[in-house]
Amino acid sequence: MRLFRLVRARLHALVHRDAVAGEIRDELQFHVDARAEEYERAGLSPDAARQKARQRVGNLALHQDQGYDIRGGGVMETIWQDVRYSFRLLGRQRGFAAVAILTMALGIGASTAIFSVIDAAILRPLSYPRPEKLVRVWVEVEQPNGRLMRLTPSYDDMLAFARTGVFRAVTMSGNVFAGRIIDGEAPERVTVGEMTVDYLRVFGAVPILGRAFTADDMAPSAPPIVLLSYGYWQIHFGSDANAIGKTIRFDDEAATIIGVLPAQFESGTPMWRPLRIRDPTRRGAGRVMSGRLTDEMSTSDADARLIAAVAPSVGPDGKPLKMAVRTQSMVDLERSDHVTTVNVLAGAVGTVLVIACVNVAGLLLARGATRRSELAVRASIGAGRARLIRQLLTESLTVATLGGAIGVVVAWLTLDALVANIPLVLGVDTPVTINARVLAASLALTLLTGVLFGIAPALRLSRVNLGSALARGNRRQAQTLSTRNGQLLIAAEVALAVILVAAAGLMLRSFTRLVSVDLGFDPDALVTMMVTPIGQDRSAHADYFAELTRRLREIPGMLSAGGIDNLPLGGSASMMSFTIDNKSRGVDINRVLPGYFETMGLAAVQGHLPTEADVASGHHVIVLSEAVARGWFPGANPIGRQVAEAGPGKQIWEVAAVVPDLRSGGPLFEASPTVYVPYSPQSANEVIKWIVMVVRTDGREGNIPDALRRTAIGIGPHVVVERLRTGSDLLARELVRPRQRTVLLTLLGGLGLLLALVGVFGMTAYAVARRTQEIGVRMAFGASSMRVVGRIMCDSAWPIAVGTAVGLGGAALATRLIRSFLFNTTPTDPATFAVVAATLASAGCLAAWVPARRAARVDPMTALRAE
Amino acid sequence: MTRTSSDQLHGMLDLLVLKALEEKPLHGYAIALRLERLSNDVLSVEEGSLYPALYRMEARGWLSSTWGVTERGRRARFYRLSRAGRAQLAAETASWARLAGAVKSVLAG
Repeated sequence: MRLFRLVRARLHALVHRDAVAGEIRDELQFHVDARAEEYERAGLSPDAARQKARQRVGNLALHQDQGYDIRGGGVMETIWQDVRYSFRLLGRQRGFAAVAILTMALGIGASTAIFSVIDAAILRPLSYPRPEKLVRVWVEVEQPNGRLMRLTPSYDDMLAFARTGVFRAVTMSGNVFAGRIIDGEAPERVTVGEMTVDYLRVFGAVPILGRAFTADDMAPSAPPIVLLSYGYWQIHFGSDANAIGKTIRFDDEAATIIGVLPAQFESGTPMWRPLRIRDPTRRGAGRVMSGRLTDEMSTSDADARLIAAVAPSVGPDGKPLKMAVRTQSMVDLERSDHVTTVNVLAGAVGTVLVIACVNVAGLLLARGATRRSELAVRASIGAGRARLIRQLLTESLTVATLGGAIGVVVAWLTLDALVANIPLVLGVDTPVTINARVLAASLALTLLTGVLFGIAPALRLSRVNLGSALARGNRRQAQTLSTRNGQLLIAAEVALAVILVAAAGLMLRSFTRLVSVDLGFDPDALVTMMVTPIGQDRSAHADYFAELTRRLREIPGMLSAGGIDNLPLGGSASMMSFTIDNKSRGVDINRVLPGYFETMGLAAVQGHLPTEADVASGHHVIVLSEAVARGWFPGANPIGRQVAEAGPGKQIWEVAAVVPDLRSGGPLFEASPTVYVPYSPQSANEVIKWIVMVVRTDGREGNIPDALRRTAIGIGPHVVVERLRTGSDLLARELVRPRQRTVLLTLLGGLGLLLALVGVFGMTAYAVARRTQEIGVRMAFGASSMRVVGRIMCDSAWPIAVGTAVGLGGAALATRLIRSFLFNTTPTDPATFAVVAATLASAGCLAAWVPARRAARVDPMTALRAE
Repeated sequence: MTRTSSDQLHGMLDLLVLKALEEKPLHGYAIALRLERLSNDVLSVEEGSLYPALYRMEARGWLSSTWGVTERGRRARFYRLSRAGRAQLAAETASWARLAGAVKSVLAG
């Protein structure tokens, strides 16, 4: 309260300077007048009385100023003076100012940018109202191996849970991976979410137009309806309110639009349908259950109450199975996805910031030498130590604030580029922005760093020994940064930089290994597109793809063309079981169109690849990958062997050829055993929804993707053409997170290295400046310039060596954090550490050598006179 | 009429001002007059010391001030002793009495 009053009075005094000064003037004037009246009563003439009174009171203006200082204008006034003085000082020492401010700008800019990511990923990971009450719910059921398996509750479980009073509302929603085809002029595939009635209540949203789903809509016989997302409505219906009641044609039905959801509500899902439950007792049916807890309910209380409500499960032997119910905060779930990456980023950017602070502290200390006599003069005319510390801290805060301001602007300008390289999957509804909280954090960080790097120099420089400083206010005595302390700073900076660079180095090494993995094919010359014909007619599909393959081969520049249902690196796979020696063996199964093997560059290792004629003649032939051949027929020739499909179909296949393994899941995964089945209308025992066409070009022709699209659309029935990609894109998508992590950590490592080198350079330059005279003396007595440079270098090389060693130790501990990000690389990879140590040591010595070389150019006579 | 030099006065000024305000709120001029009267004109307060002392004690929370009107109808700034000010007065009075007693007994030898 008192503090508040004081601050208010001071602010009042600063803002209303004239008012305060006026009050004091009025008060003193009253005093003079009253005194004059008294003299007048004592018999003096009015003029004489006034003159005498004024004489007695003395210098009015001086009293006024003193009064003003005491009445509170004072402190603010001197702070303002200090700030202005700091600016003048920075203006006079432009080199120092530029380095210090830019250093802080880099440190705070990087921190601000990373904090804005942390803000989105950790502080507000979900954009729903009161997200802390949202939970996911699972039941855990004992498995034959004795372990508990986590399953989504059945619909009946959910209804039972809803009756416990633990939840405000519960809902089940479906995962729809493949999306559905919206038919129309330009057919497209969209993700369609499925929700039960209370979904919107759980997540706190109300349609902005139309209505939500009701219990009646959930009945299997209810007419098909959809809710649109705000974005889809905006783009496809021009935000027209008349969209309600219109129909959207899915591939199998026409659904009526009944409402539009608010903007920023699950904008990743364009439309929603009611989730219709076929079997209310089935658990774990590719869905999720979410609930909103009542205000007083915690997740552990909820678990205990829900277990009482869950329907017991019985094993095949009739014994009841062990069960548990688990609720987990959705916010925690979301955060746990990000926590490692965020820790690594925060650690890295924090290290950069500390290096920046050490740097500026060193610069301030070094620069302090030139301030000694000035500070002594200030002390001699009455500035106390506290006053000097305040002035010095104001200076460092001014540097920090200028740096911080520039840093925030830089962070704001580069945010989009950063977000594009953030190795996190952030919700579309929680975009990374520099909001008020981020700005507040940057401000706090700015002030904190200002004090952090300013306090040591301020304490040190303010300790003025008046006599000696004034009497011998020259450079030689004015050592404010001892050789030892300078070396300590160098070692600290180098050590921190080593940790950052080691992390970056490991990421780079891991990434290099990742991209050099032999996938079994070269994606670079490939162009792919996914084609989905609309309609269910199997033979029409076969004709379409035959025609498409033929026409694609006619496009100029095309070397070969083929197709497959699950393209390597495409992110999907189908499984099928075969019976080999009476044992069922599951493998990846791919249906291929003629030309696929040639296009991928896969030659038969054994046997002959089936020709189009073989397929057309109705031969049931298959091609095995080497891994399958080895597994099924160890040591034997698989060509011509017959294998049977497991299950009721029992189709018999004859092995025609063996081809090399492919790492179809990308470089991170081993090649999976794969069986290729030539696709033909006769052999296809299930409807193939889509085919990914693959073409290999000679690389000369222009817009191949566009030619592919026009060809696919130009043939006949409606088709959806998606995922038009060149092969290098294909691989790039697999590598996107590792690449982002590598880019980001390399950037931060580079930043740390740069700042540390600036620091080493600065410290050494200062040491050279400080020892100019000593150097002069040595050279006057015949020391060679080599020796002089050697001595200076030695002073910096030692701390660099120590810092490197300490840094390697620190790195060995710190890089464990990124263990999970590394591919075929240990967190203490000796080669990487060796390269990092060599890099840091040589770069550090170079940074020291540049100023040291200057020492050797000192002319002994000038140096001796430098006093 | 002898006057005490202002240097000697300086240390005691706070105590005297607090004492002067013990009875009722006064403006600066009245404080000066009162101190002169109470000390039988031995103590003369310099304006250059009085006002800074008032501001300082106000900043410390011993005094509070408001603009008011004198008996003669002139606008003046009145100072009032706060609770903290009263406590300060009591403490300083006691310590002064101790000091004065000590000095006296030394002089009495």
